[in-house]
Amino acid sequence: MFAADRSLRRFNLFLMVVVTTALMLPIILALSRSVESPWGFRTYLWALSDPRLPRFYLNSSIVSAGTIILTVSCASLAGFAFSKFEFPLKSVLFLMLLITLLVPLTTAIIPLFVLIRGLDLYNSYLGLILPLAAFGVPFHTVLIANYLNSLPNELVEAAYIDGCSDFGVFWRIMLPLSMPVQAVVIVLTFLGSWNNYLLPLILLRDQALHTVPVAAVNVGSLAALFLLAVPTLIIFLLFQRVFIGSVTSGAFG
Amino acid sequence: MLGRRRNKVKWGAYLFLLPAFTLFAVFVAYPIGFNGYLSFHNWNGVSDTWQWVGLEHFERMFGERTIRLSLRNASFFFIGHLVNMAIALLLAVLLNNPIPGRNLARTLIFIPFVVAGSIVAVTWQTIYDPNLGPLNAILRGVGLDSLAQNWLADPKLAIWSIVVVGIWAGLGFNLVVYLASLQSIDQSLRDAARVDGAGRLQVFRFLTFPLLRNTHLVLIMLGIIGAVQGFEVPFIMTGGGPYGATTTLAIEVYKNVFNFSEFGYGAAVSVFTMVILVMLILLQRFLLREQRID
Repeated sequence: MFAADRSLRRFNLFLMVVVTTALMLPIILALSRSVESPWGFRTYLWALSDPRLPRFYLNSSIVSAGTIILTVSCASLAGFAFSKFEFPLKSVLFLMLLITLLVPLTTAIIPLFVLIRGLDLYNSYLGLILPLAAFGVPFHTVLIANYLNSLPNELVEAAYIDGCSDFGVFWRIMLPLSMPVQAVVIVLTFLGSWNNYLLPLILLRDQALHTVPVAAVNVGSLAALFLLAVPTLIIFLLFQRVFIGSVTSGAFG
Repeated sequence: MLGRRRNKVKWGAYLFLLPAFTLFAVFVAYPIGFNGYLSFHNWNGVSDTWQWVGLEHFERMFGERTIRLSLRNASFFFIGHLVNMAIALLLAVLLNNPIPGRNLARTLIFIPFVVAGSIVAVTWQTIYDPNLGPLNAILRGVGLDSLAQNWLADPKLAIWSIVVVGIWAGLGFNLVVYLASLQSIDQSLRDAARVDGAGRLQVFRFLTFPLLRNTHLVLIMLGIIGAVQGFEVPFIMTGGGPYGATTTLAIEVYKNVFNFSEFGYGAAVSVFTMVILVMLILLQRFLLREQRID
């Protein structure tokens, strides 16, 4: 019907290749800069044998894993209660969570610094995990509650009739059924905690505890810098679909 | 009967809320209150006494050059975000066509968004380096020596150099969101419009673009939040300099607290940031609700 379609398709392909290459140019340039003479690829060998790098990966893994576990458990329990139970002050409490969605972590760094220091958690993993989770929980509670709202209440009622306890319903019915939204929560929490720069900057002293983003700033060579990005890239490429889907549904959540 | 049971008050619900609200109370609600209270005081971060100063910090703030620059820069970041949205939308329309390799293109463009902002910042620092950086090397290589610049040290240029980094790093996100929204629009609507004689541009202008209204709004809101609370990229690339040309509200908070031990003043700037953010988001909601056609 549209005679121009064939040439248009070729033009589209051409345009896509040009634009994508242009957008990748900064990465290509920086990568080629990292292997320039006099040392060439040897800088990557040196960076690979740098004992600090595994330590930075480990630190970020611990902080991310801790934040994910804490966020998923707190937000799932609360999201379930908001979705399936009736109780006094329900709407007030829910509104409180919605309001704090407007308050980003960045505006709370002073009280968090003072608080974490006062709790004797300065310079520790837990001192990072607690605030990171706390600022993620409101958003993810709302996300999970919205998702559970779409599941029929009859499932819950049937489980009660079969003799399930409240926690049993949560654990055996709601949690397995909410896996799609849990994947979204995990991916967004991973990105938020693994990439956070400001909190480790103000809450850590020892370089031995540095996470990847703070380490990146003074790691010394471009080769080491790019190696620091590798774990994120591997995880992203492995779970691409989940990542892109999560980020999209997070935006509309 | 079942309906009535559903409405029965369940006191056990509070047990389910307990972990989330404990975290929330200690690490979100308490800090916000603490910030507000501290902003009326002088405190060096260690002494036992807080000195009440009333609105002094807020008065000082409104006369401060760096705060004005922070607000100006936030608006530049927001302009950058609008440019970003425009590029992302055009790219999304392109990638919504059945082009071989389009998923690979989407993945590649998304990568900068997944990588830590600090890694992006250091990478671009290398690219902008006036002597050894590839950007100036390319410009000199093609004979455009006069265009080679000191990208991050020139007070007029530095902020735009950083805006470009923000666009580059955020493009993948906007693209993916637009692409998902485009795919949710019924293709038959567009086909029908084409059969009725509408050109490709007309379909975009009068059908696709208005149908994406919700997506535009979500992205604008996220852009406001990002622009007002910008921190790591300028902090790492320029430290907010030269002469405050690339500073942001968050950088001012950080400097006042961790370099000058002015906790009270820093808290005031944080409170100010929060207020601006809430006001802008409410304003945006209000303005754009007025124009609703449907």
